[in-house]
Amino acid sequence: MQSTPSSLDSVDLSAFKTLDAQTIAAINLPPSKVAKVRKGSTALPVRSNSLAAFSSEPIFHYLFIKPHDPQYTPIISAHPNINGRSLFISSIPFDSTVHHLRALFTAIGGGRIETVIFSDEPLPTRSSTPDEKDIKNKKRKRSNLTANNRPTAETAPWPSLWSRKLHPPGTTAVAVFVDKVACDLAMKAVTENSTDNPNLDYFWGSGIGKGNLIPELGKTRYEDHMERMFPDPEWAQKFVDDSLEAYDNRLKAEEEERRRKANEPDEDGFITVVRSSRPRPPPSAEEIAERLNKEEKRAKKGFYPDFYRFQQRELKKEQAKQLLSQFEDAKRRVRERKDT
Amino acid sequence: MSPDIQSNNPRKRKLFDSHNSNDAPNVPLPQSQRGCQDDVVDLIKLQKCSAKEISQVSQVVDDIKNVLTQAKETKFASIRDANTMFVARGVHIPYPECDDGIDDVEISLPPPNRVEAEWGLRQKMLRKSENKDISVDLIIQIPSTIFHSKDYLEYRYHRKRILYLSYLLLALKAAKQTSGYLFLADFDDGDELRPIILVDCLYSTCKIRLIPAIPIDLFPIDKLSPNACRADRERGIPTPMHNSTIINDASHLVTSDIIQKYTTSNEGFKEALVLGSVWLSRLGFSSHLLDGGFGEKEWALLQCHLVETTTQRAASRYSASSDPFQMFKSVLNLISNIKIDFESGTPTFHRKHSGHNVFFKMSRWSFSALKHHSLAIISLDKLGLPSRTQFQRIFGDSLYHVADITISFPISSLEIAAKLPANTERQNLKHSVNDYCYNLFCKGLSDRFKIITFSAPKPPAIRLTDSLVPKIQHDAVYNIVVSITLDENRCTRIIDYGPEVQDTKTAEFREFWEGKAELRRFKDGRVMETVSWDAGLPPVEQILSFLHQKITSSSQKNQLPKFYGHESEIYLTSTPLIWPIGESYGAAISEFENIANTIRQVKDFPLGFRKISRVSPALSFTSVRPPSPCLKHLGPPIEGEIELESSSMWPADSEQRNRSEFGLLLKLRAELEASGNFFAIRVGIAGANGSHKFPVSEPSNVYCFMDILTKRQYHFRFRLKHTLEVLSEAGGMKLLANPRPSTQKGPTHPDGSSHLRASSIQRCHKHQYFPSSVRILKKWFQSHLIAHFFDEDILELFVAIAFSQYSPTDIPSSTYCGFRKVMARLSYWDWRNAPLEIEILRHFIDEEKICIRQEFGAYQQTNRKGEVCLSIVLPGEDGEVGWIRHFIPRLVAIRMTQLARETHTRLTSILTPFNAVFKPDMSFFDFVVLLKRNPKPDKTQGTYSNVVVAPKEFGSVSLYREFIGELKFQTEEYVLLFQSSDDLTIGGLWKPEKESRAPGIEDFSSTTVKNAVPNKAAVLGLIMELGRGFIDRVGVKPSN
Repeated sequence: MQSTPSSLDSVDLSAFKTLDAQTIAAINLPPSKVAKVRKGSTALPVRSNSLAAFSSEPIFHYLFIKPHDPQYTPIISAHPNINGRSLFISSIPFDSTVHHLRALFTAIGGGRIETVIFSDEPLPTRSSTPDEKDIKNKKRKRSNLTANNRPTAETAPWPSLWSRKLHPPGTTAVAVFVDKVACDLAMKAVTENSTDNPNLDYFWGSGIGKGNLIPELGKTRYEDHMERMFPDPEWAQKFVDDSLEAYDNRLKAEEEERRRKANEPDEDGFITVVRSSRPRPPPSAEEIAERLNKEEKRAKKGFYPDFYRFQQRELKKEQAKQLLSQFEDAKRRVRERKDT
Repeated sequence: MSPDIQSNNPRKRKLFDSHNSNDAPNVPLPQSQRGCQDDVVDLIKLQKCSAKEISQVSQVVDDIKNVLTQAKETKFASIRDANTMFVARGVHIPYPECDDGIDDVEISLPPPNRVEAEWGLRQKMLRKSENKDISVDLIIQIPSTIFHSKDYLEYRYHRKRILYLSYLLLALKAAKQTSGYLFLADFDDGDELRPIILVDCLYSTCKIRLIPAIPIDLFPIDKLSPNACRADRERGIPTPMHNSTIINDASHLVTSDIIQKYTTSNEGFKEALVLGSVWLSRLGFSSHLLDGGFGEKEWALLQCHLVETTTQRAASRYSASSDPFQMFKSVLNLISNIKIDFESGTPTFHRKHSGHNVFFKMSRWSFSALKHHSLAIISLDKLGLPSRTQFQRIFGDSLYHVADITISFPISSLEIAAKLPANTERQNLKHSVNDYCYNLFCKGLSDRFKIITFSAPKPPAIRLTDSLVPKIQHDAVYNIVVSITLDENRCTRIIDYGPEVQDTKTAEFREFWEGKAELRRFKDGRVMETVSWDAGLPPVEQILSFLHQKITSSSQKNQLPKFYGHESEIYLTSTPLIWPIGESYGAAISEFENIANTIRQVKDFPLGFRKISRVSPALSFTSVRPPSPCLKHLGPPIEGEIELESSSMWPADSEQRNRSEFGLLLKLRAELEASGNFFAIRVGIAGANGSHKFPVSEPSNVYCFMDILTKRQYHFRFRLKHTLEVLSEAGGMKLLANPRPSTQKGPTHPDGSSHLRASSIQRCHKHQYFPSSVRILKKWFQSHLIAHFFDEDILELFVAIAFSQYSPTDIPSSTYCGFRKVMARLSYWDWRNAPLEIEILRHFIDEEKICIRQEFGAYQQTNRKGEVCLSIVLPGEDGEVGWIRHFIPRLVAIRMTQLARETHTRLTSILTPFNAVFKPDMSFFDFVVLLKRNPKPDKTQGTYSNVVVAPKEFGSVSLYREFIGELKFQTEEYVLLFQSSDDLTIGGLWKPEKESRAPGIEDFSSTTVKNAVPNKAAVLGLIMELGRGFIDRVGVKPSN
């Protein structure tokens, strides 16, 4: 088979200059051009060596940090006691992990991070207090019949296709520190190391402990992805069997719940009307004979031609016409006889 | 009688239709007709000169008129003396040497009796040519006193005509009013016997043609019939051209007067004249002999004929009309009904009383082309297309006609002249050469073609200066360009049948086809002369090469003809395609059918198989690369779809449905593996579109597939399709299709139009050049790195435009023609203001068009920011109208239009090599990322202390696609990425910086918090990080 010419052979790249220190310097945004405070957030320049292969000069990524004022209900419900000890970070790099941020704040002399909440990750579930349960139950009473709240299969999740999750652009993070002092310390360190004093010699991704394994990016990651796309058939079969079994169980449980409700009056004394799940018994010989009789009678009777009023009127008209024609015939016959 | 009933009568109609008439009832015209009249007015506005230009030209014409009418009478003892005097005074107009024998005749040259400008100037409706030049004809009547009654013989008329022209030129040169003008010599309609003077004025934008004319009754018309010999009488052969040119000169002024009369008296007459001349010039026709010999003058004569012959009783649909467009169609109808005279071999249409044959300059080739184009428009009318739609189809398309194949080769006119028949006239050799070539091509191509047109270089106008003595320049060798429109059903026939062996024409057949002719015995016992062509190459191309060898001389035989639209050349750009299309696609399709049969034979499957359909364009002959066997699973898979019977047992929630699908595919895999027919089968899971955005654990973001590697190493990927039966509350049964996350890039379409889209494309597939046109268009989009923004179906619909039967143009019979027509349409498609109407199944009626405009307008207001919507609208059966809305970045849409315009313009010149329009212009991009051609597998897979695992192989195509997909997602805020078809080159454009939302918005449910400070270096850093191990180099434009 003849091989197709590659696009590399035909394209004219004379308009481009290979990436080097000079070209990188021309497009790099130095801290001096970035305002220290922008709309309440303090800019923190972080050095990155992702273009180290072309230039020894670092490139900067800018984090925007400010004290966090939690207003978003799911965060409060997931982490009720973070008020005053969390920082809101926007413009986080796509490869951020909790380890990256821990290492960063350690390097700048900030406090110790307890956890990091990323906006693109689901918030952890928390057991609710008895008071909260009451509120939830009341709410559910009003909306428990809506279709959207139906539970999905409580089965094992699909296998992850990626060894490492990357953050989509626009992701923000809330760094929760161990206490308020640590948080204040971190914010102070951010202010000190902002764009007016960019002397922090820390490179993004460095200083992460050896025990914290972070899968590599690039080719290895995609090869791993290709590998994960095709799970082991035995595992896959088990996964499907479990899923279907769990689904069957869920259906059974739902059916039982429905039957239970059919017999129990609710708080207002009403019994919810539900479709009976009992199969009808097969019809007896008498029933079949009766049905056949009915059908036979209906077939004989036809289509009830005098059911509607207009039909009755038309019937009467027809009868009048018929009488008139009979009368005319009789007159004609009498006349004929007289003539003869 | 109501006015609309009697509207076929032009006189009555004028009374009622006149807007100025107070007593006429104001009958509103139908909407469609009014719209068409508006369009006519708009077109004429674009075509005609401004009032300022007309007044300037009028001033020049008046000056010339004054000079000519006030010239002094000059007497000469002999014509020889006159010639000597004119040459001595620097006046010499080139003229072929003819033996007229009147050198010693005494002659007196008085000033012209009458000088008249053409109707356009008098009616202030001068038209600009395509290259914005203005040309005005000034007809000068030569006084009859200078002619003798027998001067129609032996070129005497032409000799005296040239003498009179010299006299006029001398007067113009001597006069002060015309002293600043430049004088050139040209030929009237390219006829070498009839020179004219061109006056170049107004900075060369305006040319005034001084055309000598004679009184209509100067010579007896019956003496100048086409079959009479009036020149070179010793040869004794008829001289139709010589005779007709004298009649033509005699009818100049009469014609001019009649046109002037009708333009003032008949409404719509002059507008129809403009329509006709625009239509003719766009098709390449003009009064010039080498342009077919039919131009606006001849058109005007036919229009006059229609007006003269339309009476109240004889009025019909195609009579003269006050509606310009209807008048235009009536002329076309008249042309389409004219037949070629068998005796002379030329079309004949004599004007009443004058005996002037309107078509005397036309050849067989030009007349059949003109008739073909006329019939195409009349057929539109007969199909019932609304008037306005017809008008837009004819005049809206700037590229009205594209030939399927154009061939260019050098030709020696002198050598051809030796081969010409004895009765050929000596003058206008190129005209005769065209006729000779046409006869040859006709014979060679037999019924494979519809139109053949010829184009030869016209001699340039000669500048008349005092010092130089100009001579007529004859090109001994020149390039002839032959444009051929093929018959799509017959052009691929590989055998030509000749006469039977006992027929008398056998010798002639053998003489023509030389060594190619061979005797063949057929099943029915007949023995015939045949010519068979190689099935591995397009037969038309082989025939043309053979004819080229036959036409050209031995010295030029080594020079290969240049083909434009050459099938081989097109396929060179998308190797390894071969002609005919067949085998590689056929092999993949047969493999697919084998798999489909095996699947259908599977027993004990929970659901029946309703349909196993082909999804990949590789299975419908429309992929740029033909499907090829690949090693292991490394190549990109060929996609198919297995449709299961509908069932009510499918789970209601999509997550559980996905799991059930996965289970069904595992079951199917087990069954197929048991059959042992395939090399390898595996079931996989993947993220749907935008899988980088959402975790795979979320429902509906995952889809399952089954990969099958056949024993012939074809790699197929199948998806399941099923429908869930739901008993709706209304009591009816509803079917819900499973949401199919497309594995292809691009948005999915609303289901409403999917069947229309499929049936339109399917209808187009009956044309044999549709798939190849799709391939070449896809190739073009891929070459310019914009293919990934478009769905495969969208590109196929773009091509479908060229294959609509509701168009005055022919269905393309070559890939080149299909491609050029699509480019032309895309180049002038204003996607901001109008949808692309693809009328394949039927055409739109006027009411639908109004609705479409309204719906389009309403939709455009709710457009997304930063993206544009390419709307395509399709008509369906029963008045159904389907919309396809395709969102792409504005920059890409603009780029597409720019590139289409550039390609369209470049291909207009036949000197542009076809491959040149496929070369990407990388300077458009701000930076470029080049990926490694073969990323080598790592030596070890992971790091283990006790064992070394052999590296696994993955196809670089699949890896790169995943990488580029993720890269696009991660950088979409800052850059627009354009990937090449082989995924090895990525062009990047920085998006313009916009005021984004400030950081600090604590709405965690939103993911739209933008990076306030984009750093280009950081973005390049991101690319390098993500593509570690893939990226070969990165180039940045220095200006950035």
